[in-house]
Amino acid sequence: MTLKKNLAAQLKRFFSFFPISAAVSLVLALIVSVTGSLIYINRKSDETDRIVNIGLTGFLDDTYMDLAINSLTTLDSTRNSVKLVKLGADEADRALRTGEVGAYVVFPENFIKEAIDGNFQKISIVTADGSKSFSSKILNELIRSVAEMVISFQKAVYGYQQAVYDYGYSTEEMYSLGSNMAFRIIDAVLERDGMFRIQAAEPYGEGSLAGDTASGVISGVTAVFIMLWGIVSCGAFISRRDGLSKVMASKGNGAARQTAAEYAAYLVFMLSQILILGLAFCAVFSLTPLREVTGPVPFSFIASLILPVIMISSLQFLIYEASGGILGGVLIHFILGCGMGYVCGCFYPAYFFPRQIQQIARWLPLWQARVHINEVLLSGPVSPLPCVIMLLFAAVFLLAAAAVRRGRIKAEGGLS
Amino acid sequence: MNIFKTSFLLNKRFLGKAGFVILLLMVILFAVLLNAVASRPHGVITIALSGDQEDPLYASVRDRLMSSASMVVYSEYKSGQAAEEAVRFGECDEAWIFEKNSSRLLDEYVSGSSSSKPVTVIEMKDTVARRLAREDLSAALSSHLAERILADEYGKVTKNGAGREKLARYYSDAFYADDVFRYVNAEGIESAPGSYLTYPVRGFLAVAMLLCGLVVSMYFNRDENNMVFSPAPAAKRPVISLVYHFTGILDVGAVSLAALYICGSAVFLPLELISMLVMCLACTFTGMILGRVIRSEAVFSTVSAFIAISQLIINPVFLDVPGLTPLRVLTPVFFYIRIPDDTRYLVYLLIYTAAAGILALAAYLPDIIPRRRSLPPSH
Amino acid sequence: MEIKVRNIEKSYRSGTGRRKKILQGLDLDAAGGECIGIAGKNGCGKSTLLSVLAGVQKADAGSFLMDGTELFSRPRDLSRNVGLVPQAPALMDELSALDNLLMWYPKRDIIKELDSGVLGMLGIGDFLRTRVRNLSGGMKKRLSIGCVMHTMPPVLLLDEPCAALDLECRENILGYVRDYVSKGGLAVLTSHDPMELEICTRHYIMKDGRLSPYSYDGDVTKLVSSL
Repeated sequence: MTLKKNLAAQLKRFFSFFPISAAVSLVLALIVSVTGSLIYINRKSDETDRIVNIGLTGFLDDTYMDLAINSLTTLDSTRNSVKLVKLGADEADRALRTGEVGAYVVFPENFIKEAIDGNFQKISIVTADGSKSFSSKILNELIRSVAEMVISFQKAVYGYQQAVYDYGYSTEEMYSLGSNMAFRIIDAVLERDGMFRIQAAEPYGEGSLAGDTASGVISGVTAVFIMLWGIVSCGAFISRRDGLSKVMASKGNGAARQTAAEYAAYLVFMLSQILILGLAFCAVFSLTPLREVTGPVPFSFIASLILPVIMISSLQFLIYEASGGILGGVLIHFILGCGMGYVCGCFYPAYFFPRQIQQIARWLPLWQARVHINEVLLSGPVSPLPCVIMLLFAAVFLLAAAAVRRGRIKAEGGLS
Repeated sequence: MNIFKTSFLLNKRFLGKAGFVILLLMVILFAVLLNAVASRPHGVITIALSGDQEDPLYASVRDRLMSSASMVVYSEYKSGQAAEEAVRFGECDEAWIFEKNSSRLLDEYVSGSSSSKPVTVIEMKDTVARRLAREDLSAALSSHLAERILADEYGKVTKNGAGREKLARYYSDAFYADDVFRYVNAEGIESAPGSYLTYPVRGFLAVAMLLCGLVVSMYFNRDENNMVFSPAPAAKRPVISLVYHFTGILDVGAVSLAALYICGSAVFLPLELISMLVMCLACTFTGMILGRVIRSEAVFSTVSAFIAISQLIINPVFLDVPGLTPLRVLTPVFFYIRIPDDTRYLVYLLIYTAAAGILALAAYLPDIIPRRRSLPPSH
Repeated sequence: MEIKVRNIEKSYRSGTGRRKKILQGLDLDAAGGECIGIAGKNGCGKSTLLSVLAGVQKADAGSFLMDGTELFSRPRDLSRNVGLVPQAPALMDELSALDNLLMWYPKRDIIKELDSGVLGMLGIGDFLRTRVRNLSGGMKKRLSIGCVMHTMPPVLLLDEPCAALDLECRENILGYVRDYVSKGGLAVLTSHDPMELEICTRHYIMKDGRLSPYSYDGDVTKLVSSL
């Protein structure tokens, strides 16, 4: 059996799974785009494209606090992505469970009056996960900043009222002056960036590790997606017969040649899968309201996946070669893919992790894949280093796979 | 066929597979590594702080920023230039440099007598984290700004104004507001501080358990095709299937529970144990149903990939995308993630499990109910 | 003990989506002490027939009576009275022979059976602690039979019991079948193998989903032309 014949046979074998995987790819693209469209339409009808709603419940009747809250909900840089909604206690609880609000803030009863009387009661920030997830912590950070400002300015207004009253103004005058003060406070809140002089820095060398979040997330998720899509080929790999390897080795098709032929066929299979998926996403995105968000998916993006697919598919090939079976096919792919993707910044930006971890993660395959896809997405120059590293990784994985195959053939008493 | 003996032997079988043991060890290793990672300083952005140590405004804001548990990591530099260099060399993402006389500059900013700003921000890229951090700075400065506005307004409506100290007392006496917030879950229970880096572990393991259900199903189908259970009565197949699935998933469940403890993501032990057992049952039934519906290994592996990817997107594993609740209830993962913070989800998980159990039973009905429509022997 | 199999029908959905009738009104009568050999071309439905009779697959129609009792509607009785030894050994590779036996036998029964029962006759004691994946084909087949015999079923169905086994193994297994039949058991085996067919007391050829009696005289050429 020549290498060419083996390749042809392997291609036929892998592509016998193609109709099923292509169908699932289409279903996946359809579900993602329908879900995305529904969310998008839902958000669009909700006044603006705000990311998250925060509920406010409890004691909200104080005039000045109302003013302060309203001032903070008006348009400015951060609040563009947050909408504050006043809710009843039960409504807030229900809205949190259904995901209508990401969190809600409970102001205790007679909050201001009690505070003035010296009984400061804590404000509760309620999140579905007890403020442990990244989303909740971001929300908390925002709410804390907002509430801290509200309280600071409340203190200023009440302190001011007390001061002018003690000075000799009447109660009516005190309230009138208090209102003027409140409006000045609102101005100060809206103009708070005026306290800073902003200066842009030119980076030396690589500059900050913080990247563009949106493209970073897309490139990271794409890299993990390619890794997990290897599970699809489980059916093809578990139907392999070891006896055949031994026979082929005896006919001059050693472990290296077998690996080369099988990997080449697998690579073509994976590339075709990614192409199908890419085209499916392009097609359904262009037919759904999501086109307003994503625009046309550039061909360069699909092309940018070739090198990552070469590297990741060689890693998948090694996993199947080493572990074999259904376990390796599904669970090891999942745990390795998600674990590696996590520290490589595929789910959260890499700069969320300690600096030392980032330095280690830089040498992992999914980091290189993510960086490469991200560069293409940002339409910037494509650095050659990640490309070279990815090809090196691919070569190492394939050599390791060939070594595993050779070991297995030898263990079965075959010629390697 | 004794159920416990069967379960023990199946367990022995699963643990006899090197791949399965490696997989379980990988989960533990992942948890250990993640715990080590989370114990190091980390945040969404690193800010270089610099200012005159003698300046009260800088000292107060620095203390407030560096003492609060925040997602922003602060690093203090000796000079403004050092802070700027830190940004340019990528050590920090942004620098906040307080001018030498920032207190006076803030006074002037409030009174409008000067256009100089008390804080210079050296920024690199505009990211969500940067905006978040900037709000933190605004909040830290807000009490100083508010106090000065109070003084400024007071000066306008009184003849001689008042001393700074006296007005500061009016400000601080308005009401005491230190340690303003409590962070609670849906049940009003204050949560223990934890890193956002270890939070996804629960969701990630829940998806792994669901996938384990599918993997065990593939093994079970293979064994059924090989007639491994042919000596047992057909009516016993659902019980064998249940024991088979549950045994495999329980191993992963036990390791997942250990991983949660290693990461510090676990809560009250009895609650964790109960929810883990119910989750194992839920995954068992889900696996049994899918195993009956999908008989081909090729289709099964494709569906597994689809489930793995879609579960990571739909559920609040890494990010909580709002509006996906109707899709989340299709698998037990969402309920399991939410249980530690809202025990009502344990009830929902039980309802899910009961419904899945009924469906699994329905899927096995053709095996349980003997065929009555047989032709008479004389035919 | 006697069995009456009447009008068994079974169809599959073929790759093209059409239903293919594999068993079409099949009848079979047999009694204890008999060994029935069924020959037929590959894919003619021999294995399907045994699976249906063992209750592993459900028949679309038909009945299976043992001493007048319908077994298809009594899965427990069917399982207790009929044992199936599939062509590929139905064992768990990762476990030892003993563990596989423990799935079906109480521990004390294993000791008893190894000492003076079916497991001893099958020579399973020689490889009791060995993992199944390390066993030879013959050992696996013997173990497979041993597992099935846990209820001592009066009807034993064997699907090509000696396929790919060496002569010594064949003799061992066929010797056991002979012994089983001599003690009043009914063995039904499917085969292409003259050595297997020779131990059978009656022969059938399976064609077009039905069984036709055949008088096997050791002439393989004649048998082949009749298939």
